[in-house]
Amino acid sequence: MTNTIEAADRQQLRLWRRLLLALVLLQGLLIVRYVFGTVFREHGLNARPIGIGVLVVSIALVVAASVLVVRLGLFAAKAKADPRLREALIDNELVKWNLAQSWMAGFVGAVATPFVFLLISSFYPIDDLLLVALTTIAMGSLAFLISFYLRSDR
Amino acid sequence: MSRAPIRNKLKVFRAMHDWTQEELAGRVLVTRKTINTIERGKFVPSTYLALKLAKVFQVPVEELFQLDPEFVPED
Repeated sequence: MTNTIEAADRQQLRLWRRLLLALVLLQGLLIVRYVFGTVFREHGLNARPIGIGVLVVSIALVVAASVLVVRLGLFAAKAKADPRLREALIDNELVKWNLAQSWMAGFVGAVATPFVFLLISSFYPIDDLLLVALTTIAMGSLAFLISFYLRSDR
Repeated sequence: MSRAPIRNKLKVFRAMHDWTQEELAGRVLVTRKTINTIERGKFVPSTYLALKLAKVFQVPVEELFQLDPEFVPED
């Protein structure tokens, strides 16, 4: 049973790691697309190939992330059905503590992002408020997930 | 459940029983990481888990967990 709990814990952590990687790559791609797209347009270059490339990879990453979210949900449902796994993995007080602590990282991530944009806007005009809003949400969520993952993987 | 001036002898009792962290974790239905963080003083368990640990080692809970000797109650 001990091995079952540890194996399930490792499997869950592996899924979290892959999801996190997909989301970090997705966020990185969106930043690359924005920066290169803007620079290319300013220099009169065609930014469309980059846009299409980023779009294709982004769709693949979104699909991968969605599959991983579903797999994490299925994993949780399976663990809940087993009383021992439920107590060891779902009702685990360390997991709950890690989740509670990670909200702080998420909050800091979301609050810090607009200030980063503010700093950048001192050197370079940013007129896309939707970008700022979406990046703020994404960075807050990522900070939460990264914090939870790092706390869980020690 | 955060860090608190509480010391524990989990590692000592575990060594006395010759159990690994994983073995102890299996006996109280938590993960190895939970035992590891408690032993390192990074995480203070709930009363429920502390009592379960004491029961597994068959000792009173205060033998496993003690308040820091420097703690002085407020009047």
